[in-house]
Amino acid sequence: MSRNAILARIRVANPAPQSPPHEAKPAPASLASAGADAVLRFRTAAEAKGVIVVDVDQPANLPLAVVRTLSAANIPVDTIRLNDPALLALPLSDANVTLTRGAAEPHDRLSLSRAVAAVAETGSLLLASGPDNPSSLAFLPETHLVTVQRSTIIGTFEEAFALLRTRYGNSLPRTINIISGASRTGDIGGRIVQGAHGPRQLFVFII
Amino acid sequence: MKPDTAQFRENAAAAIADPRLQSALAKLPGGLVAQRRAAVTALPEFEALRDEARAIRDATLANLATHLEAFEAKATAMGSHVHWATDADEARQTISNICNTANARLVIKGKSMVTEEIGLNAYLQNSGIEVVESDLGEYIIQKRGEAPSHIIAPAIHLTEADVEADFRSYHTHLDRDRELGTPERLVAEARAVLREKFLNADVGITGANFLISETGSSIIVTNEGNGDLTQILPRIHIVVATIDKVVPTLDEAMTLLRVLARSATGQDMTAYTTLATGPRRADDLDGPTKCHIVLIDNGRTEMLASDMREALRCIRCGACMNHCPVYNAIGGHAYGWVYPGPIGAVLTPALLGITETRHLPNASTFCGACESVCPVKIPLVSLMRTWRERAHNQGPRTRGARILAKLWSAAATRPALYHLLARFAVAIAGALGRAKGRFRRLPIARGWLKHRDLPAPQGRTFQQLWKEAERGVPR
Repeated sequence: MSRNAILARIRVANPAPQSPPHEAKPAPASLASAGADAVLRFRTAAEAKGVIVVDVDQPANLPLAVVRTLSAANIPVDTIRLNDPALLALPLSDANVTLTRGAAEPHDRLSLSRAVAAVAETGSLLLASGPDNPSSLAFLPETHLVTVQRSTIIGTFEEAFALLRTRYGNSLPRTINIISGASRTGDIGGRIVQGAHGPRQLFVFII
Repeated sequence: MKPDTAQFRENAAAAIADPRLQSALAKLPGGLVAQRRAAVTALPEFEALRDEARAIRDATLANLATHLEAFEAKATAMGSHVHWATDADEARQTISNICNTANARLVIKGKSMVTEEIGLNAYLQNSGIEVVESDLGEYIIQKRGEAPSHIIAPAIHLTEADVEADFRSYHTHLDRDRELGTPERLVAEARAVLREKFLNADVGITGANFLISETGSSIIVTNEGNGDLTQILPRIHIVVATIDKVVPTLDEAMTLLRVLARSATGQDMTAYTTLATGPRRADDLDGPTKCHIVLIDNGRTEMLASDMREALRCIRCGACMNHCPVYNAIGGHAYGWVYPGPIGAVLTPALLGITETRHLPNASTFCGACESVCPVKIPLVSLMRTWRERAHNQGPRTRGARILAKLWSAAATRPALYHLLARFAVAIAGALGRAKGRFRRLPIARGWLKHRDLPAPQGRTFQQLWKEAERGVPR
């Protein structure tokens, strides 16, 4: 059996007494931040990646912020795909936006997800798949909107993984997406073009 | 793909004489190299992270069997099917069986070097399955029937005009007079063509940058999001990875990701870093219903047992080739197989044998630039030197080369004889070159002197001058 043969060959190649397990070191000090500093760092790093970051003072104001932001970016706001109950509860339809529920469909133009957390170190969003936030929302539509709770913006990825362990124990959801900017490619002539296969634009609403 | 490594010298000469390739390669120093430098400068702890990354890889390799067993147990508990394959053939058959059992007609692929290594696409296509690469660079070269010329930028040898001409000849269902003259238009066209493939694919095949024992997950990084669509939309997801990809914990993987992105493209984080763990859950609305993980040895256990072990630390960032003057001059195809550049010059002989690949370790000036940027500090120069020694000891060599090597070794191992010969040679060269102070041509170095002159020696060797200085002889 190939499995046992491979493992046996590895054990022959590693005959020495097994070295003690490696102990992971904390994140580099220059990448760490917390509180308001983390929010500022997150915003700066995300904006450097072409992400539009918008502050929303309370959940009820999200619909207005979405409509205003997209209009300013010349993106028509008609139908948004989402499935998160907390977001569906917001008065989005009052803002003349049609909401469609479920996972993303091939011709969806706009989608809205809720991030588990955001990481200041690199301006990244942490999304977890599940019935509320199917991961196709983050890849099929042309424009992806993400909300993140201000209190869940943390300094480093080590903190983000600690949060995942607390929330999910030893059983992660099918997909954890760490998203750092919109889809891009440099494969043609070395020049960066946004919107390769995934969203052309990414908007983050900090609530 | 069939290796063409024995023709390295001919391929390299042709590459240098190819003006289109040269214009494509000319973008490397201002592109990936400059971007890496900026990213590294921005992170004061980068050097310390390289040491940490190296320590993580070494510790994992030292306990590789344990970590693989832990990964297998966790991945299985999370609902994945784990398969093991000793070589390329077993890997291809395993993947092919999964596809056939699922009645797959169309396979979409994320970027994966190991599937290039095992020649997966041709194998599946021969059994009647359509295979489509979804990374834009891979899509371009797949259509051209080429191998990647760079491990993270597979179409780096092509210009925008090349891609436009290719798209016009492949996408014949589109309007012939359409505007295609910008990268944006080319990307939009590929997006539309490939979106159809994503939606209709039965199986999605991705590689893995890392496999995490702690969670039973695979990690992939992409900028395009193609790997994500590949592992979300089709009903079956197959992860193909070599056994050296395992990392014990998420925190350790993070250290590797921090040096990987910065070394590869100068990003602090690639646009999409994704952990995939098993198939879709009962209440999920999307995701594959089955997830298979194929763990491949294909020469890695032999490397682990050999003096090439340190090359297994590689995390495939491509920095060694970006910084290599030889790679910059000839591009990736001249190396004749899947892995180019300094890491290719070490890895390819280990995987294919030194006989057919004996020229590859010579594709280096030993300047050490590769080592100085390697995020896991692989001693690439000394590993290439080891291969040179092995190629030399193994032969076959020309009679002339054998005699020269014997003469050189006879002189170099006898200091008195060596100094005598050196004095003799330097005295003659000094006398001959005295008039002009330099040589414009010499019979044994015609190519070298085509672009530069050789300064003539002064007539006495360093050893002579040193002794005279010690005796207080005025110069």
